[in-house]
Amino acid sequence: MENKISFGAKLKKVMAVRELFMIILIIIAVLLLTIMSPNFLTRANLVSVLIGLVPNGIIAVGMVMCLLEGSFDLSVGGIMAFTGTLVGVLMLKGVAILPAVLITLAVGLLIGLVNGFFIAKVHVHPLIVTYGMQRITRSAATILTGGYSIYGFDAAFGVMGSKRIGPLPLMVWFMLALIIVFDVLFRKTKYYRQAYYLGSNPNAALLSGIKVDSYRIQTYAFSGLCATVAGVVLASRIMAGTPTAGDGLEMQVLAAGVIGGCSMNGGEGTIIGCFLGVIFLSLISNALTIMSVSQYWQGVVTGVILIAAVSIDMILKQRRAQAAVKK
Amino acid sequence: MSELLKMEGITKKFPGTLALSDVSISLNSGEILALMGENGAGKSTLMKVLSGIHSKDAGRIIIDGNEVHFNGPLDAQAMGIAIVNQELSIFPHMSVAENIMANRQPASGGFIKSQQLNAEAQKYLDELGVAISPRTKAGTLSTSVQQLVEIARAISMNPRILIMDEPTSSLSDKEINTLFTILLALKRKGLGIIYISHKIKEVLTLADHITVLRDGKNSGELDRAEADEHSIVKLMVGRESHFIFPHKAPEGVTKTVLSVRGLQSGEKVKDVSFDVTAGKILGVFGLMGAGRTETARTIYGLEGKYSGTIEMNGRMLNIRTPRDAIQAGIAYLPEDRKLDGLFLGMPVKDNIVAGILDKVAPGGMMKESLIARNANEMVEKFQVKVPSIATRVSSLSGGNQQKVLIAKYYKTNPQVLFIDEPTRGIDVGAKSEIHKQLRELADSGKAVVVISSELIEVMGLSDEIVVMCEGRVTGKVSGSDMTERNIMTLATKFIDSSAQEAS
Repeated sequence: MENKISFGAKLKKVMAVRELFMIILIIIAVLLLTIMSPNFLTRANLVSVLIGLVPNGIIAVGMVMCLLEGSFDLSVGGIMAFTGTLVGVLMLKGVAILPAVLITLAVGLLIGLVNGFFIAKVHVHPLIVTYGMQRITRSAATILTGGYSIYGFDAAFGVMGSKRIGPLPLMVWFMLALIIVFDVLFRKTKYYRQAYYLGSNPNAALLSGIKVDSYRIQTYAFSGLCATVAGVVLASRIMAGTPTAGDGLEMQVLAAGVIGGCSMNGGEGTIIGCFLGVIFLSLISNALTIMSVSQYWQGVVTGVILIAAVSIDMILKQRRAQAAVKK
Repeated sequence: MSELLKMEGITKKFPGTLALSDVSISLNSGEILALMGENGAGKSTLMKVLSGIHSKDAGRIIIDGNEVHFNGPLDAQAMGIAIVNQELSIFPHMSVAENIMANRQPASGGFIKSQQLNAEAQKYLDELGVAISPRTKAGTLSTSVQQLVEIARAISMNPRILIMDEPTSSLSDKEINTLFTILLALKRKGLGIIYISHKIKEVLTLADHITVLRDGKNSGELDRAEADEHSIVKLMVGRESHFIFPHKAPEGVTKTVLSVRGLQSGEKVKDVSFDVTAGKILGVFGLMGAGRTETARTIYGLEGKYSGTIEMNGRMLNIRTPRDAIQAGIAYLPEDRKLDGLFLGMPVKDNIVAGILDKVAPGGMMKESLIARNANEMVEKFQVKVPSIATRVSSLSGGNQQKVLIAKYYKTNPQVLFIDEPTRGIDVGAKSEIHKQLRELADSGKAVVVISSELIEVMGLSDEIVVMCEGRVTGKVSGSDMTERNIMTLATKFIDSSAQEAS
């Protein structure tokens, strides 16, 4: 009896690893979509899905760090729009590409530091600080450009979208590399592991010698930096700075993180898990588009999926907790 | 042996209470100092000062003859002070190894060396004789094993002074023996150990010196050679505070209100039957893990499904939620006032009316005059010392917080009032006031059930005592049968026999 593990038990074990669960979910979604629409499994469609999710994928890295600490960053969409236009304005003012990008990254980092300062040192709730920052940055993007999109950059800046390696543009490879590198860093390095300690039990983390306040500030700075990278990459791809870019993106990424196994209470989740969540949500939205589901209905579908996914997770967790008690 | 640590004249104030007043202790290396005292005597507070969690208001901490100042727990750790807290501070989502080596994982270039991490953790687990894999998720372990993981964490810091705050409260006999072996080995290595406990037998086996605190002050020091149960108890309870319990219920009070038969729920409540009489105080006593609190929680609808019967005035109840229990006339004051009982950030008046919102909001609109009238009435009845009913509960002393909580539940007009650890963390003066108020509630016809781990309190307060062990009622004592010896025999009924079977 004890040597033989039943199929059901094995399945449970597999499902307990969130990433595998997500991959299975994505495979099911792909199969269904292929059956339902002949246009889905075409190279053009898949490449366009991948290109479309690049900003979300990059921002997911920073968001996961916030989620691990039991927090979130609602300013990422605004920061992306602001920095995406800032880099363009700088270049149009005659700053060379590399310095323009570096200045923009520094500004994004600074915005994140400001978020972190108010959250960790002044103890303002992250919801308020990051929502406020979202309003500020989006406004700033509009002010910067007078409300219009700006374009006319040096063609060399467009490398992220124009240069292809194999079937995919550079930006997709760049994002994938970022995801993989940071997934490993979050699993393996002492620095990023602190996020798990902090989210798991903040009081104990403090007593274990983790510099909680300073780490929180660094977390938001990191998230701001990720959003800035996304902004620059997006600007490079569309060769324009758009103040309305990434509207509502913060909630999409947050939802992807939670679907991908991050706990809103912190301490749980991985970069890959969140990224798989991003892929899943992109597939759903792509499916709705190619099946010509009305724009009006797309919100209903994604909303239902979000609540359903998290509900299933909670139910499974409670079952597991009960099973553990019985042992 | 040299003097490793000296704390002199330590004073610590909290809003509304003087937690420590001019307390001094001294510890040599290679020595175990037991710090004893009743709940609320100031043991934990003193250790939180020593481990840098609380700042002191006055006094000196001297290590190796030099005065030190701690601005936080890290400073204390740097001086070689490690503490195993009474409340667990486990990272549930992380592995045992990551718990033990929290923030000190072996790494090169920032990358954690998993193998070395697990090997190091394994070393400390082996040292403690804990047979678990360092890769296990800490959240899946039982509380007692989690505690061993915490002890492993403390030892892994290679401390010079190790503080153990009631480490045996959730351990089995075998685990306690293992722990003692380890502590004695650490002592031989030259560590100074401060061992907090209120279990006299443990202390007499383990300690070289005993310092007893009472009401935040030094009550006395004893060498093990001169210490015995009697001398320790005398220092712990003090002469005067021992005999000021209120009167008992008059003869001839026999009306049963609540009747519990064969109650069973989860792992902690296996077979519990008892009757609660109107006008009397029933004590429920048991050692840690006996299922006292869980029994009350089951009756209050907090533990989900149960089997067995709960009858109120002869009518069978089906309690699924606390709301059902309240409607049936049962109130339960939880053990952890701050966590489960009070709305700390809210004013006294809002706390008092929290259970009777329907009454103070006729037609759905809260009426400030009704709230104030109810709150003032209760503040007067239970003698809550507050500047105003608009004062936030968080700024009150433990005793006054408990009174607010009693007032809140009193307002729901219960027939049976369960109160779990009624005077935990409350200073002596307020303790006897609360005892008096509980007796007045009984005299006014309520049935009061006092759940407590303090034997002296249960005996002083109750008319009858139901004793539990391992989830079962092992007996009931009253009148002249109500002796410490009888009660302890019943409370350890299954524990002793299982120990004998094992040996």
